[in-house]
Amino acid sequence: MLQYECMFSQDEVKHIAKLVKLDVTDQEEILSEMFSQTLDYIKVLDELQTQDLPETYQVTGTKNVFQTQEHPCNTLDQKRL
Amino acid sequence: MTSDLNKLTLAQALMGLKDKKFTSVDLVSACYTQIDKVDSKVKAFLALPKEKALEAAKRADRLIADLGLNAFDKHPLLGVPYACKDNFNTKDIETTASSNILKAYIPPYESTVTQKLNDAGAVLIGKTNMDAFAHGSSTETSDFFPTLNPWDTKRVAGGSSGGSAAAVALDMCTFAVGSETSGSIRGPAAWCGVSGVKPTYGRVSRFGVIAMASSTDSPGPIGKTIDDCAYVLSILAGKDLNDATTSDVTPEIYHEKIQTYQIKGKKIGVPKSYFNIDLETGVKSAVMGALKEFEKQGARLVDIELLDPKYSIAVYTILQRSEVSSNLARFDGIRFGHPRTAFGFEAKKRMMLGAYALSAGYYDQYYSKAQKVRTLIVADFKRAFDNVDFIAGPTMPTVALKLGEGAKNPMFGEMADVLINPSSIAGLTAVSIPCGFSQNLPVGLQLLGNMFAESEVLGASYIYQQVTSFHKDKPKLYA
Repeated sequence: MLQYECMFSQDEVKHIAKLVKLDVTDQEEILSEMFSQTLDYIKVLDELQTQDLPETYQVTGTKNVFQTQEHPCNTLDQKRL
Repeated sequence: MTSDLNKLTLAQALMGLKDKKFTSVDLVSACYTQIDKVDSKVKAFLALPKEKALEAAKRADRLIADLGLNAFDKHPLLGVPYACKDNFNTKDIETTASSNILKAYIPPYESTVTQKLNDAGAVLIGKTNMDAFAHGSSTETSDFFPTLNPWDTKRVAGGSSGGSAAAVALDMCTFAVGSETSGSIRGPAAWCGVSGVKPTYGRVSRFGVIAMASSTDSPGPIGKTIDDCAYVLSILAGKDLNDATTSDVTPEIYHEKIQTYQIKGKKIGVPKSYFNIDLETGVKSAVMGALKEFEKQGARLVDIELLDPKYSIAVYTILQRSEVSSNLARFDGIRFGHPRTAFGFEAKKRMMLGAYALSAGYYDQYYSKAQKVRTLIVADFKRAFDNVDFIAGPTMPTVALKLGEGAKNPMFGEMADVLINPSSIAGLTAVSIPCGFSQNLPVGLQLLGNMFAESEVLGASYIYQQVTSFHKDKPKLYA
């Protein structure tokens, strides 16, 4: 296995798999390598100064969008599911 | 005129239907004949609701017989066959997002996009293959089978809307719809040699689209020409009360607007950082050729500086994985679908890394950091659009890759979509149109527009297609 600066251990893989309710039996090694590789790449963001910047969670600027009485959001009968 | 009807563009098909040169049943049947003939070579389609489609075509024909041209006032796409990516919920028609976990899932409701198309009279002929849950840029990660490139079946179609792009390239439908989070319309459109439009985020409703990354998902058309795409976008665009993120900005009648678009004096930004990456020589020269053509038509090329796209790869990777982990958490196999053990490797990989990036202790380092860099990317484009009308570059750095090449790299999709990620993160609109060939494979030109500047990029693309014929070149596969 190659060495990465950001090591994502197989134990961490197992821990995260448990959190998201997934079975990764026999895939721990490849996932640990892939995650390490990806996190290594992501370090490129450290080159940018972002301390004083706000986060952008959405780009359209719409906010407080409420449903109207004419258009209630329960579009589907539960029984149909 | 009943042979080769599947080859018609949307504009030609509508004209023929209006002039009663052929019927919708003729058109739909021609598409199914073509599917029978060539789909086994590329595998673009999943469900083919033939009976339903022929019934809808018959209904369209009756309306045309009864009302004549008036039938098209209420139903502007009446009788035209279309294909739809399999992540759009279609009532009573199997919808899987090409995943095993949703295999055999029959949605009880219709997505807004397909509802609008059906209301416009268009006829759904089939659901198209994609990377499972749209997690990919090749359509190789479909849980069922890969979709192959119509120009070379040893290569991938691109993705994730690979089935839709291949179906259009091989004339198996008149037009198709896809969805793009980052590259999923533009990428396969470029690699299959067709036209694709990624609308501004919030321009087209996401209601009923099986979610990938909710802050960037944008449904859009894939067509044989850019005016076909403009026509479809005019139907799809607009506020939807079922999707709170759709915009209040009034949509335009794009296919009319582009007819009078003037390119003379427009400033096209050419970002150095988009050409300094490892570009295939043939791709670079095809795109440079297209830029020269724009200059010839009276536009001005302006060198601009944009942030290095390498940052966008990292931002997109974090945001996409995080949003996927949240969106796919709802699949528990209780009310619908199969248990979580049915998830494919790619989906598992993405959910896990997303859960990690969002987890306590790592949130600031990854998710929050990425959202802050997103602020920089948005500001970077804003600055650029103060000086230029739109931005041009290659859609993909290479032509379609050979099967299997992507599997080696866990960030293959992000790397392939390097020139697309920044605009997706900023929610901008963009198109990809054919602009030449490299290694006998199609090359896509990408035009990026500001938010809600669809008319700008569509108009410029329309002028380009008036003076070039790359969009008319067809794969030899079915000749």
